[in-house]
Amino acid sequence: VTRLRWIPLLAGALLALSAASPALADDPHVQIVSKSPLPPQVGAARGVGQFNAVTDSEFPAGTPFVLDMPLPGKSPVAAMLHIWPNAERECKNGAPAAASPMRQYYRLGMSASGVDKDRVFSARVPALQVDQYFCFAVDLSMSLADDDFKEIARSAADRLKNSSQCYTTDKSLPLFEAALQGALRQKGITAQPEPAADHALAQYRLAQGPKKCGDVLASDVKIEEIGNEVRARDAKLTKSLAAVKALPQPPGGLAPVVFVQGGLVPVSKLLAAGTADDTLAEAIRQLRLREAGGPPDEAFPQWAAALETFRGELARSSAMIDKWNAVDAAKKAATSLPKVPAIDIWDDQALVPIRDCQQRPEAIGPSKIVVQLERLTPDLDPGPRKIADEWIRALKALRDARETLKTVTDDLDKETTLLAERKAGFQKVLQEAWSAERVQAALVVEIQATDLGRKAGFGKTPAAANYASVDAGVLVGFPSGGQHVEPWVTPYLGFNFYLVPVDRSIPMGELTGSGWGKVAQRVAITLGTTLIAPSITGRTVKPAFVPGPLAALGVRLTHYVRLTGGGILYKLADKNPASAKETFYVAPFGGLSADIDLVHILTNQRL
Amino acid sequence: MAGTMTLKMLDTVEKDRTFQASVTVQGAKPGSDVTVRLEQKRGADPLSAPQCQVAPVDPAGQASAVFDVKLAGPATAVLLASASDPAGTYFRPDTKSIEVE
Repeated sequence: VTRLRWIPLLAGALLALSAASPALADDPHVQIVSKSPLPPQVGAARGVGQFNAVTDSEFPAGTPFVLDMPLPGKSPVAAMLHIWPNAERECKNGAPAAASPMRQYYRLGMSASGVDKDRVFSARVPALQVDQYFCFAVDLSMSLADDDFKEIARSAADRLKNSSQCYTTDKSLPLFEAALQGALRQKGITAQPEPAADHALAQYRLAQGPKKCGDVLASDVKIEEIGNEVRARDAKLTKSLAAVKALPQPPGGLAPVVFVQGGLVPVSKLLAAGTADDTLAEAIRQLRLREAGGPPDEAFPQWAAALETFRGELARSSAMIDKWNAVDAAKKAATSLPKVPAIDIWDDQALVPIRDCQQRPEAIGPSKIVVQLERLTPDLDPGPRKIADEWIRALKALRDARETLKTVTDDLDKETTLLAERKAGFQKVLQEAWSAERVQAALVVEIQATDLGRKAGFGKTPAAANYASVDAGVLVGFPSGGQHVEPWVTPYLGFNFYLVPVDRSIPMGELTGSGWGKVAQRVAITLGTTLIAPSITGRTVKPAFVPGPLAALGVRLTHYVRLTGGGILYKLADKNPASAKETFYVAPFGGLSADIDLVHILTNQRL
Repeated sequence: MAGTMTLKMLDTVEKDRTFQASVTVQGAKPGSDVTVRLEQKRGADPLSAPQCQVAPVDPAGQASAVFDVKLAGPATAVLLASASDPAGTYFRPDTKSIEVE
């Protein structure tokens, strides 16, 4: 039992070693360098199997690392990294299928950092096996969202909305291409626009785009024409206004006029027996108001006083004969009353001198003045009537010019509104043409093919690992030479020798390479010795150099635990004590050991 | 008083082939004459030369004129109809676009 005390200690050491995990220091970076400038020329990177990129250093082995790919620009790009082992240096095939069971084949999304010229896409690659060839490829695609497509469609439509040809000819395609290129460039994208532009043009024609465009042109022309008419009518109005202002002489030379019974009436006509009292009162009121507020003129107070006298006489007269007498007296008195040089116009509140209306006819409105003059004209003498007719003609021309200008201006407003609606309709057709599914699909393909392409290359991991390791374990030997074969349990120490550098970072189940390579990663030759010499009942065991030299072949079950089988060399003295003869024996054994790669363990421990 | 105009023609015509465009004027002074003008304002060169016709106005204040037109193409053309009379009446112009194939 005392000989087996070492067993718990050894088991503890084995467990500790098995649990040792690889280190995670700061991940090293490897950068992809494109052989062609980015973005590549059209078609430069099409297809699978073209390798157009290299790395700035070899892939590290046995440790995760970050693969960086600079991709300056603003375009919304998504990047997918494929990295897979290859049997030989040159990569001839593209990436395996996504569902491929190939070991150490990684498909990793790359995240972007930095902006514009400093933008870099990166992926953290798990540890790769030592001394292996690897291929890599980065698939780049535009990650255009719905909003991106909408923005491109809107921008392209905007660039086409001012057309004089409506895109009906063969020369329209370059215009559509230019519009798309402009819209893409605005988003930082470069792509061959032809297929998408071609589809958009076809869609535009299918959706009656030229007709909508024609409607816009027709409205444009009409607005141009009506605009010319507005200018012409405005000039005519100015001319008519000038003509009114230039009228040399106003109608006048008669008694003052008042606005009663729906029109202008000379107050001399109110000197009649049948004139109603309230009419006389209103006439007097207007004359007094005019006297108080208008330019001084003796005619107004005097005619007002005459009317007041006449009104009093009428009121006092009960018999008709008395009224007639009053009329005669008033008319006789009126012959000596002054005349006015110019009539007044009624502005709905007061009498205004016609000269004031001449300077600002719009204050009352030519139509109202014309109506009042036309009502007054029959009461005028031939001389003043002729002058009034001239005024009526000039004011009618002014009225017509004003009304026509308003009509034309209203037409211009209506047509301008219609033009805005038609332009919106036209733009909608353009935008819908650019938003067609077929157009967007073509756009995506072209962007992927011409703007970005695929970056691919290959590399090798270094043989930076150990071929040898310390082996410490326990074995069960079966030494012969005694009366019976008695199992013998003993610890042993030795060295393992592998034929390849041993990878201890990759899980055993993920090891890759050729069939021989995978076997060589696990199998090693062991040379060592037991720590104590075997003992055989009834026989004397002689040491052969060391307690129990052994040679074995072992297979690693995990990175650090292996099964071993081999033979232990020992010497037995002859059964005859007098004889000096010694015989070599080999005891077969099987064992379990710890494969201790001290260098790897020490250099990969977490600090 | 303003008059109105209506221009009627096909939506699509073949280039260099003669077609007819009719122009109707309404709201003109009965018994007078109006000068009706048809002019190409947009389209492929060479643009069609402007044409004028004097049309009598009927008692309803209506006058009409028919023009033979030939257009270059392919293009989208626009024709403008306008009118005038001695009284200087404003006739609201009319325009139409036409596809020339």
